[in-house]
Amino acid sequence: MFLIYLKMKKHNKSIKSNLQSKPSRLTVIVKTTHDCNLGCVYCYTNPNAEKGIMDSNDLFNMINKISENNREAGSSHLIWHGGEPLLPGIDFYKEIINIQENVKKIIKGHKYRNSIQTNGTLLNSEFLDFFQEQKFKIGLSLDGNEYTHNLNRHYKDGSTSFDDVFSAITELKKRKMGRGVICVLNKNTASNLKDIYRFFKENEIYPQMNVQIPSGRALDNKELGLTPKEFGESMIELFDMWFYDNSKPIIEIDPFADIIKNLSNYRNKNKDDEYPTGCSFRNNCANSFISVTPGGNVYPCGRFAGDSKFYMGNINKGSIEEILSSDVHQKFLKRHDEGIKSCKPCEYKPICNSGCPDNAFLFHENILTKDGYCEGYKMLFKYIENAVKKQIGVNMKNG
Amino acid sequence: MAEKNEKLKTKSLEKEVEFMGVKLKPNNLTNIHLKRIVVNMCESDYKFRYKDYDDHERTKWKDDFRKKYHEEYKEYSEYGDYSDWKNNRWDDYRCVHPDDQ
Repeated sequence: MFLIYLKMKKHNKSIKSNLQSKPSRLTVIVKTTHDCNLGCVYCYTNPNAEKGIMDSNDLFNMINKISENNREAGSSHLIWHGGEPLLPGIDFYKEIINIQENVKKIIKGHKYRNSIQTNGTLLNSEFLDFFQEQKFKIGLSLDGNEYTHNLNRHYKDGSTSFDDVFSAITELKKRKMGRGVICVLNKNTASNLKDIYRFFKENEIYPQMNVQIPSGRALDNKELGLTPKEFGESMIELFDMWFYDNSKPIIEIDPFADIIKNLSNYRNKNKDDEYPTGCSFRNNCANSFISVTPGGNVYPCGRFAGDSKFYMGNINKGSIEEILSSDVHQKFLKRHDEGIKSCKPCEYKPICNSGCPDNAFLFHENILTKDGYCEGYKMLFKYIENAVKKQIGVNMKNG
Repeated sequence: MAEKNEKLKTKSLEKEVEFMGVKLKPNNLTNIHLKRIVVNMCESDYKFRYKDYDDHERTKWKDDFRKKYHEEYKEYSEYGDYSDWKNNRWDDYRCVHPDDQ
């Protein structure tokens, strides 16, 4: 422990001098390992992604450098991701807290937020007690009811995972530690949306709907992917179930509320600069995130991990500023700053900002193009806007 | 500060926000999802607008506001209101840090 403290003091001194122009607060998506105990049909992990588990040296350098980078902001957020982030075991997380506690002795008052995105199958009471004590935010992955979840998310030997994940979310709810899940939209789930909505509502689980993207193992299961139009149609179908359901219990489905708020701000006379929200829509993901993999390699986002075209540097070598000066990062900034020409005439450009660079790359092999799901998003934005305006009109007339 | 806080004490709980270009209050809405979104927007707006005010007065207003509008969401608020739920999940994916909200 003392050695770590000394190492940090030395590191702290050396870094103080070269922080003239600080980038904004960065959140780190930490790819603790790319290994996983599940074999989901759509896993987007690049087969060339770094092997093994992040070691102590990577952890130490990453937490130090990001904390230093975020010193003025006063806090750092680390999202522990994978692969399956619980595979490294509980001692891995105890070490993280130790390092953070030690950094706090040097950067006085610095706060940490730790979030973890896990498949839930390894979330035993030891992990839960520790995460509860350390105030980790926990998100699980649950693809709807037992039938749809098991179609998409099973163990590597083919056995089903629903029971394990469902007991994990039940325990999380019991402890009031969260009820949020990621639910992936593909042919298996899109064809069962009524049952899935009913399941989430009955169990008061709040899903964030993510579309299956054509990457990693999903390329072997292309037939399960949705076209942009199918994506839009499925989201509209789900929106209708949610929006016109006033009965309790009420659940949230991401990103519907975000889209409504973004549309509202766009149509308001007095616009709030904080909008649009949503990492795909905000137009500042490159200024807000980096992803670090086992071995310390840095990418713009976890989606790009393992793709050498998007390698920005290594956390064990050089400063965050040096990593952010890479050509890759500059290209992402160019996308934000200059925008995509073909999007300029689009009515929804201000709330979409050409969408996700990875979705652009996956469809067009170039991040300087629009999100591959553009057609679906446009359908969804238009539909939601009309539905909301109609409701306001009805309410205003009645009011 | 004292003058500011006095003003805050008289601030109505019938807060109005601009939504889709229309000025409205949460109670103008019957759709529960829109109502909840607008309640949340009122709170966020308030949090920003009065961030340099006295904490005690801010909290009091917020508590009163929540009592008024979250009463009907009792089972839901057991897990926190809309913004608490958001903070528990994906604020950073939305590129908004909770400390900035």
